[in-house]
Amino acid sequence: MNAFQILGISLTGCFALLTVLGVARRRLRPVPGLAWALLWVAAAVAIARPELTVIVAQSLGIVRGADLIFYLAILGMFVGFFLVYVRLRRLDEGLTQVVRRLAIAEARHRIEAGGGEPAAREGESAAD
Amino acid sequence: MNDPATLVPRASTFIVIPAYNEAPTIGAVVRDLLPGWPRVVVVDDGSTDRTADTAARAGAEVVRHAVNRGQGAALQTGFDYCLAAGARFLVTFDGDGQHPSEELERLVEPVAAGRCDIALGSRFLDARSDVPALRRLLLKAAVIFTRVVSGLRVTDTHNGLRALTRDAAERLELRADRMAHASELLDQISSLGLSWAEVPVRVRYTRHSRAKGQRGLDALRVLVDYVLNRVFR
Repeated sequence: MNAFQILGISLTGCFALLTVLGVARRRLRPVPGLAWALLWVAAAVAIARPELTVIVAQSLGIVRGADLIFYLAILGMFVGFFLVYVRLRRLDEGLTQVVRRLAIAEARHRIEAGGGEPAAREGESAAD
Repeated sequence: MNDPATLVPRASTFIVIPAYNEAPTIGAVVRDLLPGWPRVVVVDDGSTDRTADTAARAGAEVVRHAVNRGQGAALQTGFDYCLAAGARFLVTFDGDGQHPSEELERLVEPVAAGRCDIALGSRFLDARSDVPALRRLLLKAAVIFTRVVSGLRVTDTHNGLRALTRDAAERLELRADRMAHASELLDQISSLGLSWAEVPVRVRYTRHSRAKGQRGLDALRVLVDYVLNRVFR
């Protein structure tokens, strides 16, 4: 086992442990937690036994194991972008709701305080 | 009885004006409306100029977004505010001065008379609007797109002049915060089965309204926004 394998397996092992702890402490939901744990274990296996990636790659019609890892990384990145985008849209919708409620509440408050009624106009000739 | 003025209850007809950095024009727009239409609601969409102050001084009821959320979001805020305030009819109106107030009576009349749920202003039903050539081309492309996607045979899609009943406003829910709301609204008219009619209106193209209007790249943005909103709604 070379230095990279020792470092890589140690790191993926730590991430897998953190993931399990996250699920145990209910900071991660079980299904995504399990998916992440499997990903770390798969990464550790690929680092420890790189020849296995060649077998899997060739069974999928890809020549080199490194190519398989590269394709999966690209695919994973796009999935990640998509999930972040969906999350951003949800946040955006939430922000609009908050801004709307605040705007309406403030306007109603102003009217109840007498500052927003048409009667409160300063006059038709007010300078802009 | 056939006089439109007798059919339109102006006191309960709310004019909703979404406005973003419209300080140069919003005061005149509000003052032009107020003598005849007592409920003018300006939704200031997080402007960085004095739009809200100018509108309030001119006599409008001002609802102010703390941050800019887009014209669609501002319109929905205006709808929510007007419905809570007891509106019977709602009108959407642009704040850049391109809509003459004289058009309103004729726009609201078919809605107030119960002939349709929504009246859509169209600048292409008569020759009174001097639409710039490039904008005419973009709008015609948008019309074809809308006809294909929503199935509504409209002649104008991104016209800010519309009148709607309270019931229609309660059923509509604009989720497209930015400019794609105009196409979304037509989609919802179709999917909710709301009755609609087009009314010829005049649109004035001033230097200010041309500067604020959409350009070619904006049209592409609207298209992308529209598609994404349909995918993720």
